[in-house]
Amino acid sequence: MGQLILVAEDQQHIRNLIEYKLKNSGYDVVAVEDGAAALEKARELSPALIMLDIMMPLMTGFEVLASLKNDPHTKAIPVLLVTAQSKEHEVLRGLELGAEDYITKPFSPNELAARVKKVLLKHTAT
Amino acid sequence: MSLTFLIILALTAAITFLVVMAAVSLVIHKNAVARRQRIQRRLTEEYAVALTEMLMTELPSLPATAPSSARFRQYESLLEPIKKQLQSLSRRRRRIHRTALLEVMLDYAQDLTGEAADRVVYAAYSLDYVQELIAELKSRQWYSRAQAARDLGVIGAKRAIGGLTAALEDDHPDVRFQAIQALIVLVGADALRTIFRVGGRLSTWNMMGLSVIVLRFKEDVVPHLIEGLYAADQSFVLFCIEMLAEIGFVSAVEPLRRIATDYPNVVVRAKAIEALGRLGDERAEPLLLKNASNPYPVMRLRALQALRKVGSPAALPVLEERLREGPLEEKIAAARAMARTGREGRTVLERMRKEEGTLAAAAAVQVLEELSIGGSA
Amino acid sequence: MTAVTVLQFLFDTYFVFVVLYFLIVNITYFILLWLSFREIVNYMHRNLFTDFRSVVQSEITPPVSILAPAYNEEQTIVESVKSLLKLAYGEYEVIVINDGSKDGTLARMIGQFDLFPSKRVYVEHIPTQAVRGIYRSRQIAYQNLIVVDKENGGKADALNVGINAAQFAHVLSIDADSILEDDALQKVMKPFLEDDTVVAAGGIVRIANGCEIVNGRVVHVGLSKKLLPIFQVVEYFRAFLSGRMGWQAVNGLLIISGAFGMFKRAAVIDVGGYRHDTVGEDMELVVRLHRTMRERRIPYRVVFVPDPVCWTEAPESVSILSRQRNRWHRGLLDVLWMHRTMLFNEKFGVIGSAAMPYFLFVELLGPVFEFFGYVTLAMLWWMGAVNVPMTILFFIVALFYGVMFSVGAVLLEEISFRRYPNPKHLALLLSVGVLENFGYRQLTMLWRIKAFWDYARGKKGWGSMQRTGFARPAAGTM
Repeated sequence: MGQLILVAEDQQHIRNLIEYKLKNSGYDVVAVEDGAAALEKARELSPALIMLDIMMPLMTGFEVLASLKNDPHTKAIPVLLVTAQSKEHEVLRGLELGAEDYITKPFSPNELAARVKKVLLKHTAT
Repeated sequence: MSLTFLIILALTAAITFLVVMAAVSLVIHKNAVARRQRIQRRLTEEYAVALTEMLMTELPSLPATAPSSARFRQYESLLEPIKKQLQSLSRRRRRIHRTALLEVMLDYAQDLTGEAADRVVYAAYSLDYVQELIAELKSRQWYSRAQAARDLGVIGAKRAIGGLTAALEDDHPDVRFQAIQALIVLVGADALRTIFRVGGRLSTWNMMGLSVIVLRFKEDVVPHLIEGLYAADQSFVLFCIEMLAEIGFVSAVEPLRRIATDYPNVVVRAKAIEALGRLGDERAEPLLLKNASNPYPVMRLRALQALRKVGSPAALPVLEERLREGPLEEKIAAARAMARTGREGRTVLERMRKEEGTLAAAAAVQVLEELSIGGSA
Repeated sequence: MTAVTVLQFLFDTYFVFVVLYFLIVNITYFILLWLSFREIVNYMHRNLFTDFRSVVQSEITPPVSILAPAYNEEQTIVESVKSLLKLAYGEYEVIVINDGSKDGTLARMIGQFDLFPSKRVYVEHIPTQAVRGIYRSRQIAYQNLIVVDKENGGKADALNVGINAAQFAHVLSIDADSILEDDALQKVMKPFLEDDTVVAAGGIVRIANGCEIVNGRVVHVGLSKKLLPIFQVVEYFRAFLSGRMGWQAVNGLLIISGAFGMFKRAAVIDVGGYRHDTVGEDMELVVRLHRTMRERRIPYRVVFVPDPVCWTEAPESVSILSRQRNRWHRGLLDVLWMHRTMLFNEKFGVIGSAAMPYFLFVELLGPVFEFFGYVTLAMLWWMGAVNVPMTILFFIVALFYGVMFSVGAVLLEEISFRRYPNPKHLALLLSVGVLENFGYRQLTMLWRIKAFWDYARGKKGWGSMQRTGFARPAAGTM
């Protein structure tokens, strides 16, 4: 049916919101709370896109990103980073590590959906 | 004897009883608080779901010429279920629910922008939260006032601007600071004009917190900062000087030069000197050199520290004089400034080092050592 | 009138006096507890609106010189210093003062940190024992470390050397085996940034026995398996949470713990630094600061930060604990004697009229009164002349009240910082709060009385304080 998106976000209300919006936009969504679970689900489900919050406890988004790109099973999956307050160095570091795109908090759910669509389109085209 | 004894016994019993009651009621209170928190958590989860729906439900799009009231009517229809739910509750339970709902709304307000955020703001007004919070700004407890100021900023309630402006003159420093923060969130950098005019009594601590907020605006805030250099409240003048130095806005050199010369308070003048150094503009050098022999010690010290960033070999004679004649702090500052001027400065330091036994030589030696570690110099 | 009846009359009278004394003491405690409660509640509220990140990031955060005197700490010094260099703060320097250690303390530091003899300027603002050398590190990672080697002179002397060597405007005196929280510097600097009349700030010292310590940080709070440290945990709650917080509310704080105290360097140099001829040097400095500022009529404040900022190792054996308490009491006696002209002198405001008399009559002489209370009771019983109601009253005001205030202190902790959230720990602390009045308290009373005797005999020193240092195992063994 719809493409599968994996969302990793520790704050519950944001997680709910993103899940709701993406489901409304026609995707299937699996949402997890932390980095370790994200890695596990990524390997297990091979989603079409992974949305990754940077500020997570225990394992930061960067660490998860690095792991994803090191693992042959998951390195092809495009990653969309969610960063706080447009910290430039965070964004650059994320892109360097291999993230496809990023969105900053506070964010507009409509814009989020648009970004997701753009990344997926670009990725399936290549 | 026995009457006094009875009185003592009675007093003791009374006090003991009070203390026991206090301890017991504390334990009961803690349990009640814990229980309330559990209920609150469950409610926030429920309202998070309800609010997500309200925010995410697709609405039929309106033509561009449609008035905002049409939009609001759409939002109002989304709020129906929540409003109905709240009205069905008893007064006491409604209060608990409203607290939970507000917490959820604040969370969303902080993290969302765009149309979803508009809906949150609308909900806050429509559910009377804004009204309540504006009334809270006059609460007797300072922490209620501070919390209300913070929440109004987070929600984005422009109607609260009047109340928040009044809160700029609150007695409690935390309330004043939250009001400043909220006004900046609501109005943007332009709020600074009002803040500098009405508010005051900023402590160093507040300045640090405010600087983090203000720096986010980058160059847009500079005109306000320059205007703020003429604020009536001295703490704001100091703040603006600090901000201009940190942003590194070189056009501030002129107004800062004037403040360094003309402002009636020496602390502010010294701060302006320090800022000129941090801006690193060589045009400041003559003024700094002049102030290196200012009668006020704090002015001399700041000038010497600033010369560390701005000094050229032309400054060496003045620096050498300070290295010989000044107190230890000035000697070290002068030596560090010398080191920065390059080869000529280092030559002078090597020469000073040979005058063994003097404090000036010791200062020169320390700075030369710092250079070799590649540390502070 | 026989001699016996006269004696009995005297004992009776004294007994009544003791009961009244304890009643007044307890009312005072109650007032302090109440003041502390309000201060702590206010502090917790203020914390909700405090963002410490700006302190860490700002360019105008005042730099701090941390002073860590060290004596024979070769086992743990490297660890301690490394953890001190990793605090969450902007610019600061760590000055370790090697107080003529007889072991390899200095050698270990030179080796581990790649130190070389430095020509850093040293001015003897405060006279001290000879300084043998100053060392800095060749490595950029340790460039904030400064080691000063000196002839042995005691902790106060070492701190004075540190003050001389420091080049920043604020100094933090700690013990070399104090375990600081990551954000300790931020929290103790805040009062100075909010009010520039603040000259000194102390923080809460917590007991580390039984806590899990990794890399010089407390990662998990626990209680020791031995009983003695747990008694001390409750005592420290009483002293810090319900004692010092209360005094701070009226600007009457007389003690800042030597394990953690921040001062404006200029103010300390101005009053002459620490006195090295007393074992109560930390309290003496603060009292002298009060005295000088009040004499000169300079507005000032001495504040207390109730946030747990520092952990320390408590004695686990009775002999070491008794020596510590003996030393504390001799120190108190010293300070009160040295500044006796301040007592009841209204020139010194709340310090002279309330704080110092409190320390004199309650802290210093309390054990004496209590001791003779027991003696009198025994005498009356032996004479068969026990006044039963009075005796009951005595036990109520002397012991039962102690229970109330220990319990009150533990509850204050519960409503604020909750570092012991485990209900089993809480129950243990509450029971210890009760139990301590039936034995432990009497024990400390005897130690403190012996301190008078020792003081009179001219005993001045520290005794040997054995230390295990930092990385103690989680189960408090020694």
